[in-house]
Amino acid sequence: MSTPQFWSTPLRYLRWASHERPAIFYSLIIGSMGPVALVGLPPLRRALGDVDPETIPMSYPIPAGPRTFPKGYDDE
Amino acid sequence: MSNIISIIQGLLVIVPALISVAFVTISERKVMASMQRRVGPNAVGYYGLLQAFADALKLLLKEYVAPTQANIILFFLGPVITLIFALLGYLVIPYAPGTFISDHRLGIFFMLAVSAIATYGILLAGWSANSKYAFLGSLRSTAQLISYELILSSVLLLVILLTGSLNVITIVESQKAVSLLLPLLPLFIVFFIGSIAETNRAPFDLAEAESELVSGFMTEHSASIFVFFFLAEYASIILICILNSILFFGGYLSIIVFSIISLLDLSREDTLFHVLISIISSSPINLAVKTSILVFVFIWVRASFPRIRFDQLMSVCWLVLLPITIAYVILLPCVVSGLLINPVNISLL
Amino acid sequence: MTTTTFFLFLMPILAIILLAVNLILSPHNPYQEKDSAFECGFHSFLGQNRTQFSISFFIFALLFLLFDLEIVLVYPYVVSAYTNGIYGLVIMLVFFLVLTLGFAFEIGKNALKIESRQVYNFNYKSWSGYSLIYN
Repeated sequence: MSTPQFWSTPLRYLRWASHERPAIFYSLIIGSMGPVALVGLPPLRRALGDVDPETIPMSYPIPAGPRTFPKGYDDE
Repeated sequence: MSNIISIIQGLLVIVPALISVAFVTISERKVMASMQRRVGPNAVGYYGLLQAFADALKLLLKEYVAPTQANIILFFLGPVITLIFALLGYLVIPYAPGTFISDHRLGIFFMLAVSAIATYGILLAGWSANSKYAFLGSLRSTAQLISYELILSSVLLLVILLTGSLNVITIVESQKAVSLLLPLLPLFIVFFIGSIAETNRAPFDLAEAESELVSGFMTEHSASIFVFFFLAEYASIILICILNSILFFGGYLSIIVFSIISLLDLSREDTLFHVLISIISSSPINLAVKTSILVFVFIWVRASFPRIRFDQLMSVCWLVLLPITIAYVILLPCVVSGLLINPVNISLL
Repeated sequence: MTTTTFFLFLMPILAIILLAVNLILSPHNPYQEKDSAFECGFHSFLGQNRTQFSISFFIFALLFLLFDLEIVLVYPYVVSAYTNGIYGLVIMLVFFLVLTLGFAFEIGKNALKIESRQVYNFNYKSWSGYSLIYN
């Protein structure tokens, strides 16, 4: 019963690692959950009925129609 | 006139801080005495309350010893630097809405920087004393402080990710709905362990392990420069407890009062009622209670756990706490942007 | 003078006042044994004072520099996470992944290990308990 190797017996190695090196084992699991969450969470969120919020406008909206230029003076 | 007001403001922050340092020392001795079935200090003043002041007075009247082989200027400069930068952190603490000295936009950075510079004082003091105990103690202490500072700053990173600001008041006010203890519970535990180690407290007080290094980097220091180290240590304990309660418990906001408010009828046109609620829900007493509980836990930990070895101390930091923190630094931004709950930083829009 | 400036000046003033009180009020009569370096019951040896120390301290300082820089470089991302969007997040993750791989390499090389002469402890692998902290 020596230290199991990852490539020959992966499941046994994982069990050994979770007992003998818990901090690194679980931090690898937590860390690799990150990209999974990035890919998996938005479809899940939409399936649960959440709608994507509108993006916050970063500039003023450009007016659609032709611009009217002021003529003369206002106080006349 | 404004000069007088600013002097009064500065004294109003620093004098209670120093007095609270005195009372933390006396409470530590009392609590540890109760946990070890002793009486503790009970002679000076009522119930031993003035013991700390008597000790400080005694230490200020003691003879100072300046070792001949030491670099005298650095020998006196090291404790002074440690004290100054331990007390400067109180600059950005919000005690209540509108009750602070500086509402700086980078307040958290200021606290990090100040607590990092305090390490230099320890390094200087230990090196300049030219004694092997002081030298080894300062080496150990510096290695410990910089390692655990890494953990503190990376947990702080995640708090800032969820609040979106480096301003301390914004971090407090963004916990009105829920305190960050709930989403960040594992990181609070990591941060609390890190803050015990960062203040050189038992069970991580390897720098002043009496059985091996006489009293660490302050072996040669006596009289008032020893008082500086003492004050700096307890001031940084209180400061880091305040930081804990600001980051994870909502600072001066009272979660209980807010949950009671949500049950009440807020549509009534009673001005006095609203004023009363706002005073109770965000008063400095909340911050004081949270901080006192955390200081008590610091003392409790000191009374409960045996000191660990130095190699264990470093491997706890680098092989247990740091991988967990790095894993959360990868996980949490992904979850936050996967759920589209990024806080919006208005100054960037 | 703003309150902040005053506060920055108050701390050195406080330290100098405490130091001055001590220097003025306390007695001072040094002699050779009192002023020599501390040693338990013997005369101190001056030659032992600033000797060589373990390389581990230097390695920890070096690693601290690297990781603190890494954390500080991620701070601008987290305060502007909304503005950066998914692209910024992916770049941050790649940056972090590279440094984490380096960290894993250091752990594998045992660079973070401090030699301890105490073998029979709860670190030791053949000890039949759980190991919380490992060598």
